[in-house]
Amino acid sequence: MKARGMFKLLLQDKLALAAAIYMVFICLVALVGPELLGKAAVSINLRARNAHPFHIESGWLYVLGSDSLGRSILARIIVASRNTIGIAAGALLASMLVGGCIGLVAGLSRGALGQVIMRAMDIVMSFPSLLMALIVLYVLGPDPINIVIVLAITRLPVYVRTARAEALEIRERAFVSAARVMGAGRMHLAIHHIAPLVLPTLLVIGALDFAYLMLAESALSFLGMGVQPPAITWGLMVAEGRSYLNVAWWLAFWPGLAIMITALCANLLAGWFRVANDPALRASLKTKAIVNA
Amino acid sequence: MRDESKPLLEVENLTIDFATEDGWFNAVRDISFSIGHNESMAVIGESGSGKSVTANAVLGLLDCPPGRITKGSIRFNGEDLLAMPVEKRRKLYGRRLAMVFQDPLIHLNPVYPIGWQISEVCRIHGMAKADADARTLELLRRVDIPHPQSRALQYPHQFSGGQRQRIMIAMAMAFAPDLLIADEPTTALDVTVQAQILELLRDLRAETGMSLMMITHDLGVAADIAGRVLVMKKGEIVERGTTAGVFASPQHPYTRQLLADRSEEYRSAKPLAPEPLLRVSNLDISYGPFRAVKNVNLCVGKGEIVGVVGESGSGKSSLAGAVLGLRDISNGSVEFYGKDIRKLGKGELKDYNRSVQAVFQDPYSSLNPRMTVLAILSEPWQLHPDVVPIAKRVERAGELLEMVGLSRADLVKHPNEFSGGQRQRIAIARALALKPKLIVCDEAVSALDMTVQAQVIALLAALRANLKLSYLFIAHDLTLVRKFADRVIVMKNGEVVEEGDPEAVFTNPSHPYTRRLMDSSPVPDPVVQRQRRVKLMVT
Repeated sequence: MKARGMFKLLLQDKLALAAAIYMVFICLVALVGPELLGKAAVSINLRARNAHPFHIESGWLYVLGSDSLGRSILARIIVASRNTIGIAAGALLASMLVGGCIGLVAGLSRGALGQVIMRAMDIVMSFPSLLMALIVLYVLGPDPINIVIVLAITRLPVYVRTARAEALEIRERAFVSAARVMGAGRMHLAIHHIAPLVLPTLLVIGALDFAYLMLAESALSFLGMGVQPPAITWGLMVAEGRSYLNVAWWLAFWPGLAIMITALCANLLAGWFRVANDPALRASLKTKAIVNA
Repeated sequence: MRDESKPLLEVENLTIDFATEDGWFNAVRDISFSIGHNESMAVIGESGSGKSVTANAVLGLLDCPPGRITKGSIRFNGEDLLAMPVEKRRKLYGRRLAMVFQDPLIHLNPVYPIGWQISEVCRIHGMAKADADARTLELLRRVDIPHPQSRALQYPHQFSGGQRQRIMIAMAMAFAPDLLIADEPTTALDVTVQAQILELLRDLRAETGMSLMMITHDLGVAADIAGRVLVMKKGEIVERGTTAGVFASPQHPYTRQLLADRSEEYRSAKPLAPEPLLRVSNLDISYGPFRAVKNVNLCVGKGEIVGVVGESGSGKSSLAGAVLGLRDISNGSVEFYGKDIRKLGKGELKDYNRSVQAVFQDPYSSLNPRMTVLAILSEPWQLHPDVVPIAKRVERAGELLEMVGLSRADLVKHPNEFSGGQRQRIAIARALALKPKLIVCDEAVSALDMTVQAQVIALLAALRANLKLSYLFIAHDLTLVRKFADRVIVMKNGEVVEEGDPEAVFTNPSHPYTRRLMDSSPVPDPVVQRQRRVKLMVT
């Protein structure tokens, strides 16, 4: 019943629907793309070097152009999607989940624990994140899992602080007092009352962070501590194409566009999710429709 | 320029619609009224009656959309405000037409000193800075803010509620407007402070000859200050006339009902020598060096309603918090069935949590906005699974809703689909879910309209009779407690100053504070109120 209601709302919101379709599509591409086009992405075709986009004399794979070794940009974008989405989404989920939980604990504890957590987060925040990432990756090795962990740690404070601030405000509301009067413990309060109200805010921040993480990963790659060639990501493609911007703009443009559209769709979906999960906002949506009618 | 023969404000056939979930809602329907020069008029009605919407339309504060004015005209000094260009209208607002709002804390900017905010009004209308500052001091002095020179540099949070309202009034008086619209200016204030604010408004009117449009749901306030009243219901004016005339012989059934609400008796047969349920002894609650509750003793018997009355800061909510286990007790004890609640074992604490429930003041924050009514009512059973088996919870939740006067179909709705009074009913249903013995009502009806208040009180009284409940009923409204409680306790600055049978306390108060509280509370009778006012001024 609830899922069906949410789906109906999605159908009404055209932009969110388009974003959802794109996200499903890109996830499918990330799942099966590398298997289908893994070869094409690395095969060197010297006759099609630096091919301009929108010419398909050398085959449809070259519709977005090719790089200086004649590798198809389209194939490379498709193959890179798995690493890009995987790393960004993995780091995002990890930091949101862990950060959210820590933030709730900090917000609900009235003792020293909350202070300890917040000071620890201050330390993480005050440390230049790129520097920390470089050191950790230097020690652990630039493995995708390690990159996910490092990126997650650098984004952690944002979620901890937000979750804590919201939790501090919500725990003073009367419905939380009412639950406490019934004998509810902290666990019950956190799960039933505070987390559901904190989640939408975290999701919106998360959607903004998604693009940031894709680019942060490319920064690491640029410094040689990110994903290692021949593996590719969109961020790495942008970084590689940067030096050819004046002669072959398409090298950086297409992967950049992919990052932008994905980030945009993540934002649209997060915004829709926030509205769909808030009864009051849902009602205002209907009101708006009436004004416009 | 001022033509005294014509009315100052004329509203004709005003109709305002609002977009809602279910389509266009008619908030104000075809109303016409006028206010003359040097006249004071009260608009009475409960929330949703369209009284604030009307005032906002006059001042151009209506949000469009979702609102829209579909018909009518608003003329000020003969000029149509709705047809006037925005620039010209802006010159009138704040100068000739001013407004005072209900909650001064949210209408004052927290990051600017109050002196700056008052002089801003002057500067907006082209006064030089030095003149504006001088005028600010003059205004602050006029509204009786002590040490205006230094106080002008302070920020809103450094003032009490009553002082903030004075500052708002000072702002509105900056240009000595022809018409002051006051939207529930005293609703958020204690009765003694309310009396002072009303006095100030009356004085200002006498000095400047301005007209006053007072929007209120409190009949006592209307009787106190207005020469003429309009009674609004569901967007229409159902009755109008002089205050004396309307209060003496109300014509419309709704007005009669409004006037009757106050005089109803809710007390059932009083239990004789009730068995003690809750005993508070020598209770102290401190927040740092501040002692909020000092050495309070009280006892609630089985089936008894004990009213605790006091102004804000009297420590009554801290007392409620201590009984509910939400506040730490610094000294003394709270005993339930003879056992100190701080020394209860785990199982006993669970029993205590079942037996003592709460209904809080703000119906908008006391229900989780994300939960359905069913989830809200089932929450107590999640925490105490043995009370109602899972299979029977929907059924039982439906029964609870019917018990508080709502319908079973409401179970699937969310809190935002209910009015304040309905939400408070849901909160009461939740409090009943665990079959408690004592319900602590912390200002449970203070945020509600008078008619809704009467309904909720009647519900609480009926539940008490049927379920043998006890209430610790905390309120600042004396009249309410008088009609409802078996025993009353008056608190001031954390101390109990008077205790006893409500009729005895009210007819013959022994403590001067109790007497002052009662004298400050306006009576919905213009004649009596005038006599009382004279008496109050003399004392």
